Amino acid sequence: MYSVVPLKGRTAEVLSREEILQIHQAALEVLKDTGVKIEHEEALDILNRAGAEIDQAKQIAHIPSHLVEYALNHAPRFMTVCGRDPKYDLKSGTGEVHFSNGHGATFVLDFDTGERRPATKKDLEDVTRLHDALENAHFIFPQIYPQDVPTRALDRHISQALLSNTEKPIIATAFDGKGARDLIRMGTAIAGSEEALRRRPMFTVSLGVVSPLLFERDRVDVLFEICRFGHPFQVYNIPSAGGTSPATLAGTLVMAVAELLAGLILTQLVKPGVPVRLEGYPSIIDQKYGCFTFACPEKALMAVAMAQMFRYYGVPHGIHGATTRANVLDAQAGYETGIFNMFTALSGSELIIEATSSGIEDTVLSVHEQAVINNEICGMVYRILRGIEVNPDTLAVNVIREVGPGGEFLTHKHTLEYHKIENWDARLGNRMARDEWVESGALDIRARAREEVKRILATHHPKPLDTDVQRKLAQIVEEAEG
Amino acid sequence: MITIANSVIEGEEEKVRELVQQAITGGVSADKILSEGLIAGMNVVGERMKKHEIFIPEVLLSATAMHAGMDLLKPLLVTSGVGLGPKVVLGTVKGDIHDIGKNLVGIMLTGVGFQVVDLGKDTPAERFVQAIREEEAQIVAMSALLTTTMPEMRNTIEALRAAGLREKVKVIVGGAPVSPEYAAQIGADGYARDAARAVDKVRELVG
Repeated sequence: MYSVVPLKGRTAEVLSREEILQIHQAALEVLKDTGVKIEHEEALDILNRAGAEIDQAKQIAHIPSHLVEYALNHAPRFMTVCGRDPKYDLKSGTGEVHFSNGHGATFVLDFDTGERRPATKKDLEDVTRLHDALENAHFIFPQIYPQDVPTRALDRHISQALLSNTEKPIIATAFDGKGARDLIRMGTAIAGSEEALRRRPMFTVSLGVVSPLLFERDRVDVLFEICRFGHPFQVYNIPSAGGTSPATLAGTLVMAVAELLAGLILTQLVKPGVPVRLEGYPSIIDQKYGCFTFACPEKALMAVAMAQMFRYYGVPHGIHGATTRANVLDAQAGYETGIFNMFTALSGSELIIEATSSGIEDTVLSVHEQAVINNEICGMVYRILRGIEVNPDTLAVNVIREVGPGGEFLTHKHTLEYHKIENWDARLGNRMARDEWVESGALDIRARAREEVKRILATHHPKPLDTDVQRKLAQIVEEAEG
Repeated sequence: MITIANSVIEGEEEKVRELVQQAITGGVSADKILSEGLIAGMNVVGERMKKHEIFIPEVLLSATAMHAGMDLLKPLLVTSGVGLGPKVVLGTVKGDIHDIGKNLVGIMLTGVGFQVVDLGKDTPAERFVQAIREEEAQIVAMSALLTTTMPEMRNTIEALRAAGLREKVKVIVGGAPVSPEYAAQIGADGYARDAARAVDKVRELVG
């Protein structure tokens, strides 16, 4: 069940109204004065004809503010990405908070042996199936990038694995123009026709901006293919404060916003009205360890700020939730994902990615149990977001009078009526007193999650694609392998 | 020399310039200033970096200070016949545009006296081979940040072999997805986890 608007609209805010405007103005300045580098002739040409000043030699587009307004006027405020099963359709712009799993692990902890080894396509299929069963994974990203498939067909393999193992809407992968065309062929095969795919788009695909301010040719080719087809698109970035963006969080926000607006402008020039989701995942460079990390309070802070910026612009969006840099499933893995999921959910952002991820080790290592634990964390988060219902019935003055001083409420009809609605159903974490807990095996949260993973993988099977569709997808993958 | 080293550690560029100039005027040999002053300072910085006791921006500040001192010494080192350190050809492999880590390696290596030829990012195997041949380098250092571009490291080693240069250089690799196991698998001579350890490894490889 999805939650409604967090705390009845009282979302967390880290930026004041003035600060939002300042960041917006600064982003406009960056777009105009510094510009963005776009390694793509046609994109530069389109921008030129729309009024941007182009430095051809440096491939830099200086983007005037009227193009930002153009883009915001044309980009739909609402978008729907569909699941193979319509009950999973994700509508944005409703104020509800949704969660997704994680992205891009290259290693797994083998579920049977516990060995840390390179991730395979089968691992991706398994974890996708796991997330298909978890109620708080609403949008399915490629949790794993398989290491056992040829690089030139990696994007097709990933898309095939996702489309085949979940009925929820997915983020597919396409790494260049040809990959994008193959992806559309896959979607068409599943939907039945191009028209059916356009009517019920079952995936989105992303362009990742390379901070600072760089749009690579292959990625822009994907944008052209997908947007021209009329299919929903996503633009994301991951500026890292002190590395690929200013060390100040505000400066990183400025860059994040500028880059995403530039991407949005491009989509709306290529195909006015194409639905686009903007996903900003700014974070930091840890300067002691010389590395990028998502597992930091700064990221959570900037995520909430980005949600405010996105709401100011009125666009479908996503922000970055839980990530832990723990290398094992320990207390750090728990507190980092817990804190980050809770705080980012309070932003009211319509999509929080990585919230139900199976990833630890800063997204590198996929561990099935972590997905189950994160799913439970999201359940607890949802209960908090649901808030407190205050009305004459819940104020319960009559009930208090009836029970009176020294009485008990346990047997009252009111309790029978309300306890299931008011109390969250805590399923995974321990609530047993010690003796019962010992009797039932003295299992810690990891062991309990493990039992749940076993149960899901043994029993949960999303509706398979028709055999002829499966064959078509396999054919597309094979062709790409060449 | 100790004060020069300390000024490098503190990242005080002006002070380093001043003290190095004083030492030169005072008749101290360029070689001594370099090894006991500048490089000694960078060595301490490297050790602290390995233990995560200092921050990267501060490391860069020290490197800048060291280079300022080095610039004053260069003409003297050439005329005195004392060569600069061995040549290292450095680059991020083909298809990969991540270079912040590689740049840091280059800075640290120059900081301890190596001559670094930085080929930049997205460097195909042929470029590596050409540069090694032209520069007569002893070390080739490759960086990759993506699992999809890592295979280029193997390609470059193959290209070196095909060009008859494999025996003439030592190969060191690094980058977030790279591991000691991977380095061994592809036939590299060494692997380093960070820029400070890269310095150690390169020193070890040149003997």
